Amino acid sequence: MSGVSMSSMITEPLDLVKLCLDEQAYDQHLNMVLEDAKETVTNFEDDRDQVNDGEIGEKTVQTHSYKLLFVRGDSVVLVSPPKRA
Amino acid sequence: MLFHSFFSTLIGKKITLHLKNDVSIEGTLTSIDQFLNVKLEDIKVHNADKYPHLLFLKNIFVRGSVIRYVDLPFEEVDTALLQDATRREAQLLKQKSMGDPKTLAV
Repeated sequence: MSGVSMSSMITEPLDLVKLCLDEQAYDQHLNMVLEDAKETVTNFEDDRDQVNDGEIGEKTVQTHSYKLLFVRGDSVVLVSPPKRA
Repeated sequence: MLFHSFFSTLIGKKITLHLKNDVSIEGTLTSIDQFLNVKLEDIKVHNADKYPHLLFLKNIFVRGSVIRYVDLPFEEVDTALLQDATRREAQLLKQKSMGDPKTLAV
């Protein structure tokens, strides 16, 4: 696809979402159904009150995988395209 | 409306709700409305030790807005059909936003 036709296709923000979520289901609220979803939760223990001088605490990472997941749009903050291999 | 129709096709199937307060509830979907409020029956709370107040409930109604994720049964969903419906809905929305007189009347 040439650059000209690509930019003419994108006229509103939702078009970018469409590009990111091609092959997936979504609507205007950014509700979406994702296949092979992976959730990563990163936690930093907050121990700033202690002697660490504002150093952030220990990092814990949890991941969960879902074969098929509906995500409610109101908790969506950002949508980005998948990394290309 | 797209996801309302989609969830309607899943009535009677087992789903897991992950709520915004970190409660996870598994149960059979019995009803869904346009706000994606859901009714579940025969529920099981995954982290019940943390939320014992839900332990004795069998049937529940969950307000749609407190749901974060819904874990869906992969085998029960026709993803190709869902993609098709998404494209149609997006097209319709776009026509409406561009003020297409044909769709404005609808």
